[in-house]
Amino acid sequence: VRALAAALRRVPRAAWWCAAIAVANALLWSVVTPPFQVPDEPSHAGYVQFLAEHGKPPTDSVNRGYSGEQGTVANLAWAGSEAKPPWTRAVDREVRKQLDSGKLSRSAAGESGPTTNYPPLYYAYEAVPYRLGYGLNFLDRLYLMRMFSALLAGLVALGTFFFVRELLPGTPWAWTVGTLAVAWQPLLGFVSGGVNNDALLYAVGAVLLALVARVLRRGLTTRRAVALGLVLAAGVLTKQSIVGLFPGVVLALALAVRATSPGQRRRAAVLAGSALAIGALAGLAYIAAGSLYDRSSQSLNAGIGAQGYAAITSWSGQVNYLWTSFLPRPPGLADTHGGVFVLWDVYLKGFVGIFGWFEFSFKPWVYDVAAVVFAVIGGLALREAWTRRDVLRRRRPELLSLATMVAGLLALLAYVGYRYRAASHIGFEQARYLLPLLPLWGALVALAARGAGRRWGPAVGALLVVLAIAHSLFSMLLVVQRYYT
Amino acid sequence: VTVNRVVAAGVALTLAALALVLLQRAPRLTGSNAKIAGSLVDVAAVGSGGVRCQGHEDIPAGTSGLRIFTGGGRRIGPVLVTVSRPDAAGGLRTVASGRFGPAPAGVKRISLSPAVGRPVSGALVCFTNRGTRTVTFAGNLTPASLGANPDQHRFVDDARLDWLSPPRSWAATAGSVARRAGLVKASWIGTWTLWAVIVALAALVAASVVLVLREVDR
Repeated sequence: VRALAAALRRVPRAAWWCAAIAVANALLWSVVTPPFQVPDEPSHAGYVQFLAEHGKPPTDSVNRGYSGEQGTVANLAWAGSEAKPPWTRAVDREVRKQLDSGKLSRSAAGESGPTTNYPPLYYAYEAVPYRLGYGLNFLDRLYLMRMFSALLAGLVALGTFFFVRELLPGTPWAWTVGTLAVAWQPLLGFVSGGVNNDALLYAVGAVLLALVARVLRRGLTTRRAVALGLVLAAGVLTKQSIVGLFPGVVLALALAVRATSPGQRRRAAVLAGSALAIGALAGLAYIAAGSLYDRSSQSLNAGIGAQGYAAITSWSGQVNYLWTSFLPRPPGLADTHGGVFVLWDVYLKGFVGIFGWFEFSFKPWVYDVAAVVFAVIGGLALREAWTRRDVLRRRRPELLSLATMVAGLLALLAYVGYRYRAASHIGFEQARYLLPLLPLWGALVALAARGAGRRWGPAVGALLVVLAIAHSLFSMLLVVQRYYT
Repeated sequence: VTVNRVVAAGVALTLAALALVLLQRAPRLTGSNAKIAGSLVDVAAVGSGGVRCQGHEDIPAGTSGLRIFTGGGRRIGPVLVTVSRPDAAGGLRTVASGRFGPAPAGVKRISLSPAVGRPVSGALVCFTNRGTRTVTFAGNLTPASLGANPDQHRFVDDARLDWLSPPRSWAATAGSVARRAGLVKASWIGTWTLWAVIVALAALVAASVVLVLREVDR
């Protein structure tokens, strides 16, 4: 505890400020967004409710149905995908009357719907505000849960700050620039301001990236290995998609061991193994608890390994899907995305802003302007990378590990996306799935600012922060326009 | 060029862009019977000479127009629209009326005369097709997207009726927006909350600008 307190005291004040801004921004998003308008929020809230009411995670999502409280908000308040919230006081009064009546059920089999497959850590965290507000009505508890979720955006900002600090140790102002670009990222605020386990996954991803960068720059110590193991464990217990980052983490640990002096290598290997073992133990505990709580095998792999997929998928189809997700489709390759170019239409446009249940967006010209901004940021970052190529050469292990983490997550999403589309004919990918890598965006912005040169760098960095703020403000305005005008 | 000036220019540009958006004038929604963003179904096919009426409609004060989503071909209408309310004698009294067409099917904005000064509840809205082609209307309950409606469930839709105000800026509707944003949320959230959000956002922007200026100045 003393070591933790000392470590917290060493956190720079700028990092705390960035974290506070990220939390405050997510809180504002949580207030502006109507209930159940964050993707899958009814089901996530249902999972929390089940866990908080029964003290155990929900079992399979059979008998899907809302609890009385959940259903009242979903049906009377017209909440959910594609919905338009009510604007009349009469509906408001009716919803409150029913929620305050105390007659509505607080649990139902299957109230967690498709989120039943997720591990329980985020929901256990959210069960705290649920229980704290137990005497309040469901909407009050939902907004308490949202507030707790928003706190996790602060961890994303802290993770980003330390990640950028490891990548650009000689440019302290760039740490703040990169972190503020992340703190104001609208999708982060929107998702973290709702009840959704992605909020914890983003925090885990940010801290994981920071730890990996630190281990590769400063070596593997007992404390870092334990911290890495605990973060891996938190990831395993939050959402299965964390697995996409594992190849990069394993590679980073292997490279860290290799970089250790021969006399210390054996110890470093044990530490690296211990970090992975902590994560693996969490996974095993989750599997064991699954059988204890009568959760099916589907809940371990989020349904990805379902038997039915074998008949409708193939390796060539998977390669085709992966290729056409990120590269232009050459003649001869089938269109497996229903005319959607995943890299642009889903990931980049979604990063700029597609809100609600991934349903409404800015006018098309906004994305064209954003493409120019992306190009400028990318160009400046590349310029800096080229100028400092001697440094980059020395830091190949970091680059390689980070690139593997990115590739791992993208490949996992393409793997799942292919199966999901084959079975349902609905696109799976969404930009929010990439946000565990959000610190990389902060690093790119910081690198771009440095790429503007010694004279212009700080001004460009500050301007990029203003741009991030403007982006967030207009995104919030878009959400207000969609639901309230 | 100092960093301060660059930031000041960026903030000024952002504020100008916000002002530009907020001052744009157009008819705004005063209310709607729709519970969805987009409709899957066409309801109420009204043949030539036919009449379609639906009751229990609430029309907010300040309404001077109606937006509907029609189908039926390149040239539909004319279609007459009448808005009536029950009177004390048990009959119906016309509150406002309007018409559209002949015109291609699609989104139709119909001027209502006279404008609705006081809110009307339980109104009857009728469409009379004076054209030669059948006219259809988009529904108000069944969502369009597969993601929102994976089982393609059909609700019992009415025709979607979006009630419109005369042209006004976003800024002029801020009071209504704040009131709507305070509904069906936690009990501590109300009309005041959106104003508080704006103040908090201003404070956050200021904090971020001060922070970044302080850091680059070191």
